Formats: sequence, C-alpha cells, structure tokens
Amino acid sequence: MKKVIIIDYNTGNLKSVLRSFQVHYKDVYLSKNPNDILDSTHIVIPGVGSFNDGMRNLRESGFYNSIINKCNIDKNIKILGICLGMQLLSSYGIEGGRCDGLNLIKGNIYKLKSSSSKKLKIPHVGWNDIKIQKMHKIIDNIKDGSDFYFTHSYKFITDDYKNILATTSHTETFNSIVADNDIIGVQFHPEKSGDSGLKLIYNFLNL
Amino acid sequence: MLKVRIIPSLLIKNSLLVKGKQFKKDRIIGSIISAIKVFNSRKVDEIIVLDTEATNLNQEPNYNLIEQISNHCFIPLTVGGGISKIEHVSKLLKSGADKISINTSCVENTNLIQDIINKYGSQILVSSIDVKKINGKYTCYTNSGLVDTKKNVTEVISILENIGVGEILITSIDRDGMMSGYDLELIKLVSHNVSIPIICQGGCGSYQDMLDAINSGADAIGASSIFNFTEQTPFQAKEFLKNNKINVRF
Repeated sequence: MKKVIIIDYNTGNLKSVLRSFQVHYKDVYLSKNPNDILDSTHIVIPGVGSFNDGMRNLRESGFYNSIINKCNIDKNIKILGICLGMQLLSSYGIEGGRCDGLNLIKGNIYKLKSSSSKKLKIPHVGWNDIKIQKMHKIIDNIKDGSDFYFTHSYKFITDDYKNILATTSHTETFNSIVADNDIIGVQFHPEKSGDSGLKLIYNFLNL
Repeated sequence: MLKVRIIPSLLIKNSLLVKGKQFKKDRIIGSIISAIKVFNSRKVDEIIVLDTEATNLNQEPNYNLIEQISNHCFIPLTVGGGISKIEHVSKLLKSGADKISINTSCVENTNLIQDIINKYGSQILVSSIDVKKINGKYTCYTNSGLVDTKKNVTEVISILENIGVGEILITSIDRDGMMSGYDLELIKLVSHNVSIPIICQGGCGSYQDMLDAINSGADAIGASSIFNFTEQTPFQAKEFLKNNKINVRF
C-alpha cells in the first residue's frame, strides 16, 4: 500500500504541491510529524528559500533524523526533492557558510554563474527546456526538450555524472534532474509545470 | 533556453473579474473562475491575480477565492492586493498561491518586504510598481494609483533589487487599458537599471506591442484588456512571437 507524505517544514507553496499530487492519487498528505515517515513509501521534500534555513528547519522539526533513519532501514524508499528540496539532498551547500545537507545524492550546491548578457538573468525564473542525459522511470513519456517552470539562483553539482538525468542551459548548463536510484531531485517545480510536470509526478507515484 | 512568458493579469474587485482604463472606470467582465479555467487550458505561462480594492478598503486578501482559483491552476499563480502583514503571505501560500505581488508596501514598508524574503526566499516576491509619467519623470504610485509617493521609479527599483526581490512587475498607469502599446521608454529605463526579471504591463493592444516590449528589455509580458476584450489569444501571440525569433513555450 502506497503512503505518500509531503513534508511540511514551514516552507513555500505546499498547497500547490499537494493539489498536483492529488490529481493522480488521493492518499497524499502534508505532514508536520516526523513519525509519519516511518511507514511511508514515497516522501516529497518541497521547499523554497535558502539552503541553511531549509536544513535548520529540517533538523529542528525532526524530519532530518527520520529521513536519514528511514533511508538506512528501507532501501526501497522513493524520495522526490523539489527545488530547494532537491538541493537539500546534496552533501553540502556553501550559501551563507558551509552547511551539511542530507547527503543522499553526493554533490554540492553552488550559485549559478552570472552572465555579461543583460538577457540572461539570475534568479533563473521562467520556463526552460530539459535535455535528457540518462533514462529513468521518472522521465517516462516526457519528451526531450520539454519545458518546466524554474525559479532558483543555485545549482546542484553531482560528484558522479551517473547521477545526472537531465540538464538545462541558462547562464551555464546545470543539472535539472538528478537521481541516485529512486532518490530523485528536480530543480524545477513539477507542480507548476503544466502537463509535463503532472506526468513527472505521476511517474514518481508509480515508481 | 529560457522562454519569454505570456502572463494574463486578472484584476478582481468584490470577487469579480474587472478591467478599467488608467486604473479607473472598471468594467465587470464576469467570473474569475471561468477565466482561470480558460487560461489554464490555453498554455499561458503564468497567471497574475490582483485585488484592486483590498488595500484601500483595509481588507485582507480573499483566501477562499484564491483557493478556488488555485484549484484550477497548474501553472504559477501570483496573487496581490491587501497584503500588509507576513501572516497574509503565509495564508495565501496555504490557499494555493505560488508567488506574492506587493505594491503599496514595496514603497512604504520595505521591512515587510525584507521579512517576507527572509522567511520564504526571493523567488516568492514580485514587486509591483505602478508608474505615472509626470513632467517627463516616472513617479511611483501606491494604493491602486491613488497615492503619489513622489518617488522616482529608478530609485525605488534599485532599493528593491538590493533587498533581494525576485521579479519586478512594472505597470504604466497612463497606458493601462488604453491598448495603444506599452511605454517602451519606461521598460528600457527599468531594464537598464536592474538585473532581475521584469514583467511589463499596461497598454498591450496587439502581438506587435508584445514584441516591441520584449525588444525593449521585458522578460515577461503581462496583458489584460487584449485577452479580455479582443479575439486575440495567448496562443496566437506565441505563434507571432515565435515567427519573430522569440523563444516561447508551446
């Protein structure tokens, strides 16, 4: 039996995330209780804001420990990190001083390069296309070149290129989908990316 | 590559969709929910919903209405009007808003702006700046165009960029609802002075107007009357722009 938990650790547009999952599957819950992680099958880590604040909220709410424990016990757990939630899956970030992440996908977070071109701005806000680098169930039926909605200033650099599923170009090419088996991070917002985003969410629920 | 966004800007008054000229003489167009359903199915890139009277009536945002709107919206939804406390932002996000647009407090209460950014990050905040051209100078107005702050637009947007707002929504009050083209001089001025994304609005009457605004430095096109009162559609706008070598999403 599937149990899908969206972690509510005092961050952004949770309602939008919940609604987009409920399009496909009714039993999806927002949770503030770290104990809900124990018997879950799918965990969604949303998030907007800064890396350090995000990690502090994860730790103070107790979710940090419960996620790490769950990953140690249950090798089949499916995790989707969205935007900041993707970045929190990394080993550490450097924004506002080095801060350790969940270390579930090896790599680090850096600021996107700025550009001399007036047209390429940071934050990277809007619809941009993904270039698929590696097949994975999470991108089943999603065409190479599909557009997704982004809003971020930082990027996830993985230690191992095998963790890169898709890239996107702005001021530089950065990783838009990363994964280590069924632990997946997306830099864009699938809940706000129209049909392509809803397809990705469907794929996640069916992992 | 990043696409230029086409964003219907929908004004509400007493829960109804309205549109006027130069921030006055609002005409009732109909149900906001019907409009949202149509736009969500027509591949627009984002939707902005602004309550034009909440601040002046000292009302909070209409959270129930935003919740109903967001039920039909799987693209980014920006909501503005009546936000004067950080609690309002939190309630709006819980009602389904993705981004928050703030006008009056951007000029009057930058502490609120700072608090919102600290709590939710830059990307949550779209600073809405309403501008009138007076004696050749662009001056910022608040309270749905009723209050002249006497502050120069470049001064205000520089402060906001330094605080860390995510985007600027720049509206020409003079051109609002006139459908005679955007104030390109204003768009050039703003885009030369800030390096964050700019959504322009006020004056769009044709697809060519959109192209002109993009070529003047706009990152996103906000438009209202053209979609409310004419047969022109966001989809055709994108086809026109694509034929003119602008990157858009289909």
